[in-house]
Amino acid sequence: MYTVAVAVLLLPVAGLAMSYLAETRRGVAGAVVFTSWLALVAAVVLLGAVVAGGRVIHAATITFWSFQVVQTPFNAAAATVLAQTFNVGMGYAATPTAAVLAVLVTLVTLLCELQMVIQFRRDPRLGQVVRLGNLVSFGALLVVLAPGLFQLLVGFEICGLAAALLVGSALGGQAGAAARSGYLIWRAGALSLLLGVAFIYVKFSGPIATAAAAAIAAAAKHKVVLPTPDGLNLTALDHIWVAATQGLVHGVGGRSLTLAAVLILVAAACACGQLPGHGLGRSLGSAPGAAAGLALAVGGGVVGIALLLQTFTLLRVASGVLPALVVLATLTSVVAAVLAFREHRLRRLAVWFALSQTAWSLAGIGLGSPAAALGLLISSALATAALVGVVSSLGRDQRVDSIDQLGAAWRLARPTVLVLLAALAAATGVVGLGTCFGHVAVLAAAFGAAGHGSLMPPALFRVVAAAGEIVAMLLLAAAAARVALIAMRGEESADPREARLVRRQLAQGRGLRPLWPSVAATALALVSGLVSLPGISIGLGGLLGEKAGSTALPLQGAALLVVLVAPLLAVVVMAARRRNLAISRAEDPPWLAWADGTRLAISADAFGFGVPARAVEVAQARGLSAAGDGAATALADLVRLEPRAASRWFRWNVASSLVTIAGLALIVALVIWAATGSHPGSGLP
Amino acid sequence: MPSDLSLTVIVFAPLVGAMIVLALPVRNDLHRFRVRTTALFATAIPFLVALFDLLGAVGNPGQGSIPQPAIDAPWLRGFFFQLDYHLGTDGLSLLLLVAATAIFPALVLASWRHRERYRTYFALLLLAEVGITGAFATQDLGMFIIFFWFPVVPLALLLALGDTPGSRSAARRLLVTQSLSAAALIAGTLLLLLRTGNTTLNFSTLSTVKAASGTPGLIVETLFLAAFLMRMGAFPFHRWFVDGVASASTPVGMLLAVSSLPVGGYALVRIALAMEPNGALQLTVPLLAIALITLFWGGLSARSAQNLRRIAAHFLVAVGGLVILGVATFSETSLSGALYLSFAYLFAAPLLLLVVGAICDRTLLSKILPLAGAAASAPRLRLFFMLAAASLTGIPLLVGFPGIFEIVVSGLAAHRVVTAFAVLGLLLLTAAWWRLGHRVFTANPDNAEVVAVADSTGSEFYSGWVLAAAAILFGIFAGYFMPYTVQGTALVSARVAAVAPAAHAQAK
Repeated sequence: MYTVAVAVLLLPVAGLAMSYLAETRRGVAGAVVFTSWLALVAAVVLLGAVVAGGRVIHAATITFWSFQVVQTPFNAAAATVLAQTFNVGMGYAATPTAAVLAVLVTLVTLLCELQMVIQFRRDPRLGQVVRLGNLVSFGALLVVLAPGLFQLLVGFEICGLAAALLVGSALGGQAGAAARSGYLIWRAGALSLLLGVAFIYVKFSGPIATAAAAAIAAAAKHKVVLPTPDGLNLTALDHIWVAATQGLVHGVGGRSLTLAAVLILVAAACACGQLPGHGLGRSLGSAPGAAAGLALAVGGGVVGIALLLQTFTLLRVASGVLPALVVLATLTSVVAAVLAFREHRLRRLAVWFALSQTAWSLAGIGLGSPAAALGLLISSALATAALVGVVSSLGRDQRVDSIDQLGAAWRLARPTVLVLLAALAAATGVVGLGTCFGHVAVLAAAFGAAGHGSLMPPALFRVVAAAGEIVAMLLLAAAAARVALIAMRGEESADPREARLVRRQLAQGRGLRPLWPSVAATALALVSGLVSLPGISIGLGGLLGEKAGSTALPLQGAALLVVLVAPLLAVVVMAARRRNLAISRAEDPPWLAWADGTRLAISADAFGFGVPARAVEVAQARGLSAAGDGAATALADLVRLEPRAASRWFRWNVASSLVTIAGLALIVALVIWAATGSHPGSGLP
Repeated sequence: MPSDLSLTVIVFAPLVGAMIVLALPVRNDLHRFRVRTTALFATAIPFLVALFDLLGAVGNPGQGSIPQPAIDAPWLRGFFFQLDYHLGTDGLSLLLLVAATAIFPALVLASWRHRERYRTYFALLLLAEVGITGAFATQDLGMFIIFFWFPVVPLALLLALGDTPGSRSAARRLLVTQSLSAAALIAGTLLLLLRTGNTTLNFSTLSTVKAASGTPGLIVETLFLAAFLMRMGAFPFHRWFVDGVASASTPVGMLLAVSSLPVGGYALVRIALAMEPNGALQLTVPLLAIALITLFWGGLSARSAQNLRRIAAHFLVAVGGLVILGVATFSETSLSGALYLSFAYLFAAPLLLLVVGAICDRTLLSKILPLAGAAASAPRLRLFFMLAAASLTGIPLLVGFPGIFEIVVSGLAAHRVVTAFAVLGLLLLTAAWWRLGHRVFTANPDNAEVVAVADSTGSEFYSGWVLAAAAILFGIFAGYFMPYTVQGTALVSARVAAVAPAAHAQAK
């Protein structure tokens, strides 16, 4: 188990290192893809071992930092004494959730990297792109396999930076700006997580943790052996968080739990591009080629959701956090669906689809059903990888980057468009495909069938979530139907020159062969709902603690009915007005720039950083510099520091300065001597 | 086993090298090559001695509080103070000393293409090394004062010899500020000795005997803080540093960075805290305010500045705010974090200035707007830039992260709101970092008003790799080094803790 888990973690880094030994682009690609294959195999073995091992959780940490942390109480507000030894390290905790997510991360990474290798086979950026892809995967694996909060933080930071660099490696004038704005959102989340980790360490470590562990052991019916929480171990913290709600942890109340949970929630919301940071999705979607799929599915989806799944106990016991998550996710889901419905550019369309699905997964967590969130995440991550893979191939190879050009593509490159539509169907979850069963699970949780009755948010929030989900589902299905209908109409662009250009580029297409990784991803996404959710509920559901009672069956049936019927309704409505669907790209209305986060990012930059920066600049120029110059002039006049002749400038300054020091020292010494002459044992001899 | 002479060799080998360099002829290229290689050799010796003779001590963290290898010989006696030739390293200084010796070969490599005033330039560079390594190696306050001021004149001369617009006024500003800094240090030391009745200037003695209390203690601490904050380039004394970096050549800018924050931060812990804990506790709030103002002032200035070197300089000033926050938290961990961040700064700051200087020198531009991604085709420079900026903003697995993590963890236990603001300041620094990176490396190169920047090659490349490799290795293997630093800070923290109740009562 140890070897396999460490292999899963380290193989992406090994691939990155091996790629530097290769001399050709093919060698670089081979090294990276080979290690990604191995990582996937190792992850599958790990999952098999976890399922076979039942409830036993294997965990190990290679400690690479170990230092004393002492916070003496004299200046601490609450006389905090932290743990004497703070062990942090890289390791793994082979929980069922971690194993499933590890398989998902390695699978999506492999599929996206294969597509990237095909797309960039003649591009000098191939090595850079696949290496950064591996780094994103490494960061995500650190997060999903983390045995402690510290590793969560490290993985989160690495994943965000690698994803931003991946976005920045795209060509075009906007890539750098997209990378910058996206990374700032991610870093805001990472710093929130840093504060959260530090806060949890301060509040739940050292004597507090020891006392809590003793109290838990005393209160437990069976013998409980907790790992040391000094390394921010999640298993130990889970027990301590629960004990804190029972009053067993001295000095820690509901406010501390809520604050810690909010800090982690902010981090996850930033990583998942939730409102108002939904511009992150747009940014990650700007990554070159199929790398955008990796950045969106793994960076933007898995990492944030894994963070919440890892700390679910804390979110559960902190009051008000889960309802807040439900509201945030529902709002994001609806806004992203509206944007998807309005979008003409194919890549952006994929981004809004991905963002909406991620928000649904987060809503599942907020509704108290991590299994539903996990099931939906599996399908949506695969669908995102597939969708972005197809869209990026259409854009790179055939220069089809807008819905308006799909008519020509339908006639000249129909298999590719069919794969695109299949990927959209998987992302939408129509008629039992793709994300369908994930949506059923989340909607059932909103109807009140999550199993953990006491954990569910109040009815009002569940109603909001259910209504929001149905609206978002209708809009996404309508958006997908709109794409399909426009494509199947087969119309070309009104501009004959553009139409000719598109035809020529499409004629150069090579069929589905260069698309095979995305075709595979689409196929996996289509069947993933059928496999993953029952798999989770039957095989792993018990391990995850989900217990759906028989009373939940009607609610689940209702959810299934809604999820099956609602998209069909949307498709029918769109089909009825198919002749009115515009194919010419209209000017974006002004509100769209606010809704998709563009204006928001500019305003945040201007008012958050720009205005204070300008104020500091003015203060520096008119206040501080003027004062400094005045003081310098006065001093120069005093000691004749100014040059008398340009050629003798420096000698004068050195001499003047030496005289200044000697004079000041002498004056100070004399003053002290005079003032303290009577002090016993002091004074000049 | 470290030899007693190790530190003497480390500190004074560059002085010997400077003398040899001054004696060498410079009539042709071969002569100039000899000067360069002599300088490289003179800086490599201290580094190799430090690496092989001293660094092994970190494997024994328990020894972090005892200076070793110690050489203690009487020097000046018969005054009201005793000045000893006392060298030794402990948990507070060892890493900084090793890092300082590692920087100078990289600085000589970065100066490889220097063409004017050959002997003077390299001799001054070597003299500056004597002062900087001496400040970390000494265990005597009197010698520290000498070493503290020693590099100021070489630095000012190097700046003035640069002959760029503003270099002379920057040199003048540096000289005046650092002279005042030295004067404040001398005055504080004299007052401390006279108020406490001590005659020895030994660090360990002064860190254990009774400190000055009341108003004299406050005055002593104020003088110490003024001296070291001036040296660090903290707000409001940052202008000498910003102007210096903006007008200096690339290697001299790197040297300025090496001589400022690490020495000032080290002195804050070693002297300002350990020798006058009463005053330090009374000045906690002003110190925290200075930390936050420095962080935000530097970050916002870096966000608004247009000059490439000034952006980098303001960025480095802001990092000083985090170091001051670590010092003002007073715990073992926060002090260790402050020292480790200073240690990180020794690698990351020169690396950042190396990249910025390379771009300015090649484009003959100082503003960022016309660059518009002109360096997009320079992947090595981009990598160096990313590593340097990411290190200083606390990205994990790089050298700056352990220090920042320690400062945040212990800061949150003591000053929750201030630490939260400091984390916000980190976001500001990230914004400044990405703004600079975007303008230089990733904006649309088609809009650039200059030809594409050539990538790093030759001596500059090797210099960059030395620093970049150190930034990665000391980040990943931080756990091997940090316990030794923590042992060093334990004594300082314990001393502050011992006087804390009295100071609190006094404050009440």
